[in-house]
Amino acid sequence: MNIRRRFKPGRWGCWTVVVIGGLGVLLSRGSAYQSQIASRMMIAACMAAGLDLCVGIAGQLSLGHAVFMAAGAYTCAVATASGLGIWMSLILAVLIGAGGAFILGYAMMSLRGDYLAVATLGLGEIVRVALENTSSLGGAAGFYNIPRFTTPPFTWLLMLLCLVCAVVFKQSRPGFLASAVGQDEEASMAIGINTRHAKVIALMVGAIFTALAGVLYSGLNGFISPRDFTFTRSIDMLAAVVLGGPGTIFGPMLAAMLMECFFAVFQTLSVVRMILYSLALIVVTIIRYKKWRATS
Amino acid sequence: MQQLINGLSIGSVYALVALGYSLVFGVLRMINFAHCDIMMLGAYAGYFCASYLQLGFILSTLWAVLFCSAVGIVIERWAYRPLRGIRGMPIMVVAIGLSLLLEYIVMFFFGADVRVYPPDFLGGILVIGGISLPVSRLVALVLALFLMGGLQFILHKTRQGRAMRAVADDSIAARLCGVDEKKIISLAFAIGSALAGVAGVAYGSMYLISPLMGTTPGLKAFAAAVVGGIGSIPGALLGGFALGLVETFVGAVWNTAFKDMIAFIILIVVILFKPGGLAGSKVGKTRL
Repeated sequence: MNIRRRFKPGRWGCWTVVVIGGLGVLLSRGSAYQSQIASRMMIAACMAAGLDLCVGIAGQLSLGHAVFMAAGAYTCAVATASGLGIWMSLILAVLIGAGGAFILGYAMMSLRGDYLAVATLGLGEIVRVALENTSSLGGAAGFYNIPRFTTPPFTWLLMLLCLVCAVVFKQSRPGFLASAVGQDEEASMAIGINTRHAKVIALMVGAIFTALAGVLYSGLNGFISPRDFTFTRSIDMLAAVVLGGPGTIFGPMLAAMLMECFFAVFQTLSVVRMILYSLALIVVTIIRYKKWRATS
Repeated sequence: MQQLINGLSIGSVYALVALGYSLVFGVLRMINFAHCDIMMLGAYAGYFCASYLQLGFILSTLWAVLFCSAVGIVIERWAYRPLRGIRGMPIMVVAIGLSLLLEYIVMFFFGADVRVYPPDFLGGILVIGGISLPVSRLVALVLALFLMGGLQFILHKTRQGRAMRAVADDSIAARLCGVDEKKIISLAFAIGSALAGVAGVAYGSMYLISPLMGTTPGLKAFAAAVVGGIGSIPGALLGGFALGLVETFVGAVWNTAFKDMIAFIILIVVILFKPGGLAGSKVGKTRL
């Protein structure tokens, strides 16, 4: 495979992400609702970038990425409630997200394929039930009174940071290693790559972005509950990665933004919206991968 | 004793659903995440027959089974077959899309609110020696045991069953021996979905039903299939009943919150330390 070609960052795609985000910021100056939507879109893009590093580049299917988002959001909530400043809480949340990813990564990255997916799914459920029953974190009712610091320009800046970091990571040495593992684990083991290290590093960097998205999410609503971090959340992220094109970074970010936009437009037709969404997911995935199989 | 019956009856639901996961995993090496929603469809089909058409238990169950098998075959034909030969993420995403699709179609027709089976549908309580046993739970248990016997018979004594085991063992070799793989895969989906349909009616007669009801018991049944050793039929039974019992006792002794976590904790521990599952299935081990 032509390595150069594969690792081109997709300059136009990346610029599109930046421009759409910027347009969102400009358009959202009018009403609170619009700025809410614009922030949501960019938060989703950060999450998709994080999951893409794990799923698209390192090839490790995770169905529990909402865990890292929850880690970021709850850390931020607790930190701001105990009097820390926003930047301190943000850094703390990111550190906790990365630390969690480190521990989980080392425990779970020996699993592969479907087993990893199942283990992460189980983990997501465990964390959700645990949060629902921890009264000091608000339990099932949720955590209130988080300062609302998320504004569209702030989100836009952080999203840019995520995009740049992700692209840089993809072209760095650890990114190459993770990508090699994603393409063929046995082969990369055979040429002496420590596959577990490579996977854990990709997971950690991804978890940082996802935790950041969690922080922004908590600052957007001023309120978080375990219901925000369910299996469905992880699936939405995964759908963005698959529809956008795994491993391209800008693709999942664009797809995530478009999906949020779609959700916002069809908000009034909740059930029909979900039917359309799931149908689109099925049809697009089948068409994409059928074609891919025919050409390779 | 009361808890024992409760645990066994919910365990029998888990076991029935787990069998479907295991059958499909056996022939296709894929996890059919939409399976839990086929169970939900079964529960709604049974509900529809029981409350709108006023059918009895046996007829409602039969209709639910037929309906679920049909849905299972359609799903396999139109959603999974185009992606045959592709591993991992795309399949998973299609399965999850299907699962959402089924949930929201039911929500479209029946609304999102919780519903109850009519009270004369397997209502009533049997009192034996001071222990009160709801009829629905006993029926679920007996039905599950009966169906598992039937499944073992099909797999081991009939031509189709032998073909299915052959495909599960080595699909290329089976094809070389003249087994029509497509038909066998459809059959596996049909049988698995039929079992899920029965499980749905049984679950519905014990608890409440709602369009999103499938997810939690579905995931737990999946945990049961993995714990028992995915791809193995006795393993699915063992896992289902073990999980039902453990969950009920944990719920009774500690608190109910812990009850929902225990299945997944066991799942992760088993995957990490004994990937072949309790029954030590060959398929499960080779996956790692």
